[in-house]
Amino acid sequence: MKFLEEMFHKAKPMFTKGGKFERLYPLYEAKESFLFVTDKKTDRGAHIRDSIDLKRMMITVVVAMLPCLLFGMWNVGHQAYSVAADAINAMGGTPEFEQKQAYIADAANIGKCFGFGFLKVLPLLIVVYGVGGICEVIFSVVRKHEINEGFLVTGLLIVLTLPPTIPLWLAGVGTAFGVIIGKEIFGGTGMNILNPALTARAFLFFAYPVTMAGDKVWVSSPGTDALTCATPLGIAGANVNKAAEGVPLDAINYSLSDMFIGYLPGSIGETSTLCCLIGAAVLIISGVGSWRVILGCVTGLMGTAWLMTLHPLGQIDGTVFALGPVVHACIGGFALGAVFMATDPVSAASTNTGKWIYGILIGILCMIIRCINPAYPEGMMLAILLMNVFSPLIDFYVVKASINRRLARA
Amino acid sequence: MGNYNLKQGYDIRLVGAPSTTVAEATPVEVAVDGRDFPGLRFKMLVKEGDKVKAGTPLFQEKEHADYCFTSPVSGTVKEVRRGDKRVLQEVVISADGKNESVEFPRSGSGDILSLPREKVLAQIGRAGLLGTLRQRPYGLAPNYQVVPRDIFVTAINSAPLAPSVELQLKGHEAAFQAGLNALSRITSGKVHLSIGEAAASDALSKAANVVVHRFSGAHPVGNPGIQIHQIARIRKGDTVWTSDVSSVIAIGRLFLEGRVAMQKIISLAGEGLSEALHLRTVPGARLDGVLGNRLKQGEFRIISGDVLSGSKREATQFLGFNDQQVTVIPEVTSMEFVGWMKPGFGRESFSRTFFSWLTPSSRHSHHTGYHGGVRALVQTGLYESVLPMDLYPVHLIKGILAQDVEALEGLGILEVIPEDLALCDFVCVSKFEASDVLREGIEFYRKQG
Repeated sequence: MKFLEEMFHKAKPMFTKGGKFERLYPLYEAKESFLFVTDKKTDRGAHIRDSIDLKRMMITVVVAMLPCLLFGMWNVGHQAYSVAADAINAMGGTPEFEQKQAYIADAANIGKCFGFGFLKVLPLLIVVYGVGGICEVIFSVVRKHEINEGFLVTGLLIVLTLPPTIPLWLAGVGTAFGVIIGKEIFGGTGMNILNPALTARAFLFFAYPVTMAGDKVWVSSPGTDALTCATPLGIAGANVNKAAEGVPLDAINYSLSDMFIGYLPGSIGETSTLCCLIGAAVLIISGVGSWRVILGCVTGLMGTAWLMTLHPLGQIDGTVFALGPVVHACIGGFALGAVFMATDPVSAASTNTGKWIYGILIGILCMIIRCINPAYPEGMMLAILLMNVFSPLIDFYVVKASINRRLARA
Repeated sequence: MGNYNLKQGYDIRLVGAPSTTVAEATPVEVAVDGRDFPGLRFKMLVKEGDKVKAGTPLFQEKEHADYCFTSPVSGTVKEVRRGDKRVLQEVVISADGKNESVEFPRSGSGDILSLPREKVLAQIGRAGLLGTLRQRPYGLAPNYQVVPRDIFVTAINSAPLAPSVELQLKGHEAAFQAGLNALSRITSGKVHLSIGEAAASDALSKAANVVVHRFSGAHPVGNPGIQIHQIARIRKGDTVWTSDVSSVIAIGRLFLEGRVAMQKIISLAGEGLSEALHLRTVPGARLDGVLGNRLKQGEFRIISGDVLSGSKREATQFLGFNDQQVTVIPEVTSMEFVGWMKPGFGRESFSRTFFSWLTPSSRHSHHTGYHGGVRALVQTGLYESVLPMDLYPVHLIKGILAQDVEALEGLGILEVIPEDLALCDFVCVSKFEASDVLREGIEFYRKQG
């Protein structure tokens, strides 16, 4: 690698001040720091530094998300074949029946499901990373800052929160919105107020509601038409109105283990609570993600979910009020949001006390939106975005309390 | 007596720990550097060619004839170096090896307790030992006119590769107690002695005329700033002094023996040495004499002090007056190929993002590289996990950068000096220098105040 290193050393003057490509220095820096760990010497502050840098931190989060991604790919295929099979209403012996049997067999074939999902998700990954990467490069050149590694995580998170059927151009538009409005206009990674991945999703959610989800979610189809499928949260939410009107309630045909492992329709990466827990373990053990935030979210959500069961509607089985703490923790985007979105160190509260408050409030808000808001079956995205906005305020009061303690002694 | 168990902090597992061997390093050249006593202005008392003994005043604090900075050895003044605007830098002395000292009045250890404050302070000041203390807030040299609220003595050396307190104390137990007695005369409050949880010596755990506090935890537990914060915090208007084992022993010997004996035991450690050990030398000793022939071939950085808060020196320069270790580590010389993607069994990190966390007792090599690009500050919460204080370092740093004078006191600027935040520099993923910003912030705040 000596050869490459020398090449970089030789090329460096062209990109530094006064060089021919001075304006493109961030590009050079990104390439160099991608291939090599810098040989810059410490000249102020501590003489030695921790081996960790932002790149290592971000790549650790990416590793933590891989179980979700891989499971998501498989689940995209599994749901596609299952829902397609369910959609065929045919008698034995007809060609349609043969087709139904074939879909059922495919849904049980791990390799086939994964292959199907892989081909659905890969183009999304390419588009999201491509569009986001270009936005990053343009901004870093114009604003003269280094290219931020934060997008390694943001890009993957965006993909995990999208439905598999989303048109590629829309994924690109959403990514551009998330990166530019969610992050770059504030000055880049470290300065943003909202989580960029959630900003992208929220933009798509409100601007293209039909493409994203209603009470139902889109499932890829092995045939030509995309199909929709109701999620447990959608059914349970709709059951509230049905209970009020006195019509029979729809059944939720998923067992708790389905919900925990993730055999559910939904966005690519959100369905498996198990994979999110694996990710949480990686984040907490490595010290990259805050266990306070994650535990705060879980506490807030489960506590509020228990309170909701005390509501009159909580007495009627099948409504969203009656699902109870454990089911609520396993369904929807809660686990993905609590582990990977709420813990984003930039947009979360930064003080330890603040992290608890921030996490608990996310859990509470998520439950309130799930149960009491009539418009959206899922509340995690909005809960996190709302608390992102409030996290500086939480920190302000936590620090203020420390200041007051100090001044009170004087 | 108090027991404090600090949860936050980190002991860097650096290779090159010193052995318990204590070698002698007879200094050939010694320098007393005015820049080691920040906050003071000086008046010169010697010129080049003057003969001096250990304890002969070289220069004094401008206003007080009893506040002197004296030669640690006997010999000849070789050179007086001045910087911009004739600010005093170093007074260099060629040692003659005779070890003669100026004579001072002797007192028994118990008799010191009945001496008046002025007399004790003047003797310490004239012998040049007041400069071995530090004043808080701001970490300056003591102000002669101030009566300190308390004096805090740290008997815990927690910095990476720091010398052993036991070795420093060995044979000087009586002088240590006499020094504590002297300190107890010059404060209006108490002398607080902080010792490690495992400190076995009776000289520490049964020290008289002081309040003994036991601390356990990782670095920066040995920093006076952390101990003061736990024991009796600095409030606006308070002034306290801090001291360490070597300083207390030198003060004790001054009274017991009636002579200036600044000899102290430092550690000479780090990967860049063929032999890491303890060494008896004097403050301001020329570093090539201290290093001897132990320096390895190659590109190394010599640090007077520890790797977190020490200062970079050349071998021809001198040991800092109050530094108690010399650390030699390799300079970074090449870029590591895709280092950020490797599993990292041999790469130390406070986080557990490298697999070195599986072998918590292994020691690691550290060079002077950043290990990554400088980025916008991401508030990971790591700073708080290495600072055992009710203080929010990131917010303090932001207050300094915003020059928000009104907020700085509440954020705790009176309670910390750069060495307390040096671990923040180490753990920062954005490669931000919190301790350096704090240094600038303290200067700014003093000017405003």
